[in-house]
Amino acid sequence: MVSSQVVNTYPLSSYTFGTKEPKMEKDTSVADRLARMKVNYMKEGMRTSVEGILLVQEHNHPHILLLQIGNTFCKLPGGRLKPGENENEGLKRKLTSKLGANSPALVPDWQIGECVAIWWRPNFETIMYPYCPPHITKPKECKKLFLVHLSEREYFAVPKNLKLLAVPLFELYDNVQRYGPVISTIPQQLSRFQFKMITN
Amino acid sequence: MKWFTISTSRHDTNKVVCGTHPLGGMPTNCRRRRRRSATALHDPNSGNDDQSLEFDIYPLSSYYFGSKDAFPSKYLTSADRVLRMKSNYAARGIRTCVEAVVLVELFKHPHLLLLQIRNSIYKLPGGRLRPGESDTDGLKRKLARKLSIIEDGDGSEWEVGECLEMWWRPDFETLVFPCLPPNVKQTKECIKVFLVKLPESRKFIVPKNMRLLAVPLCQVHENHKSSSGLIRQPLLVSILSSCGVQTQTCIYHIFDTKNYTVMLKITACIILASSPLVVSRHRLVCVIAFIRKIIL
Repeated sequence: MVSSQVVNTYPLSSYTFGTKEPKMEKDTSVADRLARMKVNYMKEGMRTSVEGILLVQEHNHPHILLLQIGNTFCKLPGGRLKPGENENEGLKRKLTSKLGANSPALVPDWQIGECVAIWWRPNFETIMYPYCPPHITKPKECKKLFLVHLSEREYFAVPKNLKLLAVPLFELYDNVQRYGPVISTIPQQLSRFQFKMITN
Repeated sequence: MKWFTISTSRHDTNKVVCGTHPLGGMPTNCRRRRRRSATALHDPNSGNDDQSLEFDIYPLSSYYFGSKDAFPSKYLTSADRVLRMKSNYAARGIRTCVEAVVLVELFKHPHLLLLQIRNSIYKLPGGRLRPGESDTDGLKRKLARKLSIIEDGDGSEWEVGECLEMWWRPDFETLVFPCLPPNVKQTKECIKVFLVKLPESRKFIVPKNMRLLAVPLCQVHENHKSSSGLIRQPLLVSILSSCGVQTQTCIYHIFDTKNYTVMLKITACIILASSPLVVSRHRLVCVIAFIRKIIL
C-alpha cells in the first residue's frame, strides 16, 4: 500500500511576524540579472538555486507563503547556493537570510522536507522547464523546490521592502500570468501530500 | 485582494493584519487541460544531488510492442458520461481512479507512454478502482488488462512506485483540480497518478483500437504551444518519413528548440541514428537543405 505523505499545517494566527532591515535586490532589471548570471556562469559553472515552500492553513485550506517585491512580483523564499554547498544547508541559510530574525535565538529551526520540483534553465533567458531539454548539454541553472515543515509556533522577520503573502492553493493553480510557471504549478506538485489541518 | 496580506505597521511590530477570506473560492483562469510534468527525475547534468530521486529509464528499443483484440469501447458522449458518473456516485459514493506514469528513454530524454483513443483522446493507462480495492492492486489490475497479453492476470509483474499527483473533481463536470476548493463539501472523484517502474525489457500488448505513444516530456509540458508547430509538422513528417525515420516521437524535438543550428544538428542526428535504411549522402544533403529552407 503506497501511502501519501502527511504534512502538518498550522493556523496562520500561530505565527508571529516582525520586520527587519531592507534586503535590496542585486539587479534592477531582468537584463542585468541575466547578464550577472552569465558572468557567474563563466566563473562558477552551473548555478543551483533552492527555494522553500512554507505552508500554513486558513479556513481549512493550505496557503503558501510568498515574498512580494514591489506590487506585482512574487517569489518563493530561497536563493542561490554557494559553490560546493549542500542543498539543505544552503536552503536553511537562505531562509534565515530572508525570514529569520537578527537575533539567533529567534531564528526558526528549519525542517527541510523532500524535493517536490526541479526546474532547468536551458539558456540565459527567463524561460525555465521542468525537465532538461534533450538538446541542452550544459544547462545554465537548476532550481530545486523543497517542502519546508514548519513547527507550531514560529517568528518570521520580514525585510521592510518585502511583503509576505499567504496565498491559497486555488489562487495559484493555473495562474501563470500572475505568478509565473514555477509557482503556479506548485498545487499540482503538492497534490500528492495530505495536509493535516491543525487548529488551536 | 484575493489572499491574505501579512504586513506590519511601523509602530506595532508584532501585529498581524489579515484580509478577508475570498468569497466563493473557485480558482480563476480555469482550463480543462491537466498539465503533468515529471518533476522528480534524476539528470546526470545536475551538480548537486543530495536529495534527488534516482529513477532508471531504459531505452524504447528494449521493449516489445504488440497488439491484441480490441476492447469493447464505451463510446460515451460528455452528457452520457456525466449521467453514468451520477448514477455510479449515487450507488457507490466517491469514485477513485488510478493512472500510471510509465517512462522510457529515447534520444536521452524521458518519454511518457500514453494511450491514444480515436485520434484525439490521450489517456494515461489506468482506470477506476473497484470498491474496497487498494490503489496498488487496482493499478496493477488495470495495467495488466490494458498493456499485458494476459487480461485476467493479477498484474504481479508491475512495480508500482510512489504517488506523484492527486486530482479532485468537485462536480460531475470535466474540470479537475489538484487541491480541493474550500467551498466544496463532497468531492465526486479522486484521481491518483502513480509512477510505475519498468524492468529493463518488457512486452507491451496493446488493444487494437488503441495506440501506445511515447511522448517526450517537452511535448507534454505546455502542450498548447504545439499548436503553432502544427503548421510545419506535416512537411517535416513527410521529409523524415522518406528517410525511414519513425516520425511519431522524434518530430517533437525539432519543434521545441529555438536554436535553429541545434535544430539542424538534431535533425541530422535523428536521421542518422534512427533510420534503419542506409541514408545516402545526397539524400541527407537534400533533406537538410529542404529543412533549412522551411525554417530559415
